[in-house]
Amino acid sequence: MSEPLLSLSDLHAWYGESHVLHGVDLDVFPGETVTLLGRNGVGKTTTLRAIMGIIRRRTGRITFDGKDLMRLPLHRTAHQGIGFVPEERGIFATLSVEENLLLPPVVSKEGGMGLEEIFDLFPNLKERRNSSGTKLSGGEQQMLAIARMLRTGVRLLLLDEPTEGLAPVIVQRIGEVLRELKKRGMTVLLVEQNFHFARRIADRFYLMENGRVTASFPVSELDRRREALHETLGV
Amino acid sequence: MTMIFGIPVQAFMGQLLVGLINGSFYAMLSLGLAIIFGMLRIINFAHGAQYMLGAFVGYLLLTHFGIGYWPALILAPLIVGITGMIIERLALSRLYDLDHLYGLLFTFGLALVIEGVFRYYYGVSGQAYTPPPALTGAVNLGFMFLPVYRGWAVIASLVVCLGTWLLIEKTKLGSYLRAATENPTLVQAFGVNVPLLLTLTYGIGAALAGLAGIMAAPVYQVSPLMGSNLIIIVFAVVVVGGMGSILGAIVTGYLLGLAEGLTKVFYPEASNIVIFVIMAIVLLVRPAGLFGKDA
Repeated sequence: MSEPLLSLSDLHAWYGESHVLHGVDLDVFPGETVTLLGRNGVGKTTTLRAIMGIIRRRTGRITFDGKDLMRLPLHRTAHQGIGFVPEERGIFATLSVEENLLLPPVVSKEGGMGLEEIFDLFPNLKERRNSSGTKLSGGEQQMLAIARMLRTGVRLLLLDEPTEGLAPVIVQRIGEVLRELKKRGMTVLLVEQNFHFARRIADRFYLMENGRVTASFPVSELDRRREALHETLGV
Repeated sequence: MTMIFGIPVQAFMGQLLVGLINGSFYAMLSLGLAIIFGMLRIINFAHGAQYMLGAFVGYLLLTHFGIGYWPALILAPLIVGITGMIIERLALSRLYDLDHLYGLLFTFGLALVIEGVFRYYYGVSGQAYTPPPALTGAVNLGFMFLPVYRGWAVIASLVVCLGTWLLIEKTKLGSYLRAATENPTLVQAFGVNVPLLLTLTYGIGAALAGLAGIMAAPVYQVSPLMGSNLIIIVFAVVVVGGMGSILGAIVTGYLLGLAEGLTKVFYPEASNIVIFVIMAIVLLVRPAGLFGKDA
């Protein structure tokens, strides 16, 4: 197998005084879609935020494409080629849809998708390009949160619960988009509670419990582990 | 003689013009305060001192180097803006993680120091600053004489306010500023150098104060206390407009200037307090300010 694109080893992280990650180890290989599973509060979101550098109190190793991310200031992380789609989506109310889309700086020499290409993928956004970002429906906001990362030419997307609270038809659409991105070679690290959604797009899974990774398995083992997972995840 | 509400039209228009002039400076100063507050969440008490600094830079350039009004119009805001950026880098940036009160206290102390230094060297009496010949004299508008410099100051301030508003609402830099006002961490995670943006914002705010200062130099006298006299009114303007609202700061600046001018016509005794009366009423009826969004 090739070198991992993203690699975490013995990652610890703290929110103030509370120790949230207790030594997370995981690898994401180029072109893979990897899903982090786990109950609420086990540290999935914290893992993504620690990778980005939003959480500054962290120890251990995070490398991206062989480069150490731990020493970079927050605004340099994205420039390595990592795009972050937060759970709360982070659409800006004082910016129009188009301004939201154009906000994140392009981080690779080749650039990412053009505006027209993005609008082909998300036709709704084109129609509403001049309205305020937060006037969009929840599903459209999620599309926008993903779309604005595609323009920048990132190689790795960190997606935090993209389907949370969305109607099934929108969830399906987001699944299609992610499969399309995968076809184009995008690497994705996904935090997801929605089993049915995750199994259709993920290659591999990591299970997190109490701030650690406790299991790792490919999608083919998902059915065999179903009972145990239901137990752990409480779904 | 033509009368308006029992007042000679000359006197009426004259006071209205004074109100508009004052309003021009209120607008430029409160605009800078609003920009700084929006991004840095710091109430910049040094704003009055930076305004005074702008006027003094112009005055010193003229008396020591023979550099006139037009170059000073560029140089004064530039110098005040750069010193602002240095202050932000060296001091303010270390206070962001603390309670906002510390930023207020720091800038308040800074204002006292700057004003104290200028008072030590120049005393409290004002120095006159003569505008260039092209801007002296007056034009007869038929119903009143308009001093050319005052007309220029009103128009220039309108252009500056409109330009700043366009910069924030219509440009890429402006979209970074607006987004970082909402969620600085996420904007930085997207790869925007937000610390640099904060430095730049403070520099722009300070430069606006410096520009207002050099523009005010020929109208009011150049004195170490010119800023502290004005800054309290400007804070009232920002509160009435809505903290952090750019458009609110501009519109309210002009409106309150005019309100003050009108009060001078009809009830001069109240002209010094009318702005604060309006502030009190607005705070009671609409605490978020006229243009503020309810928090």
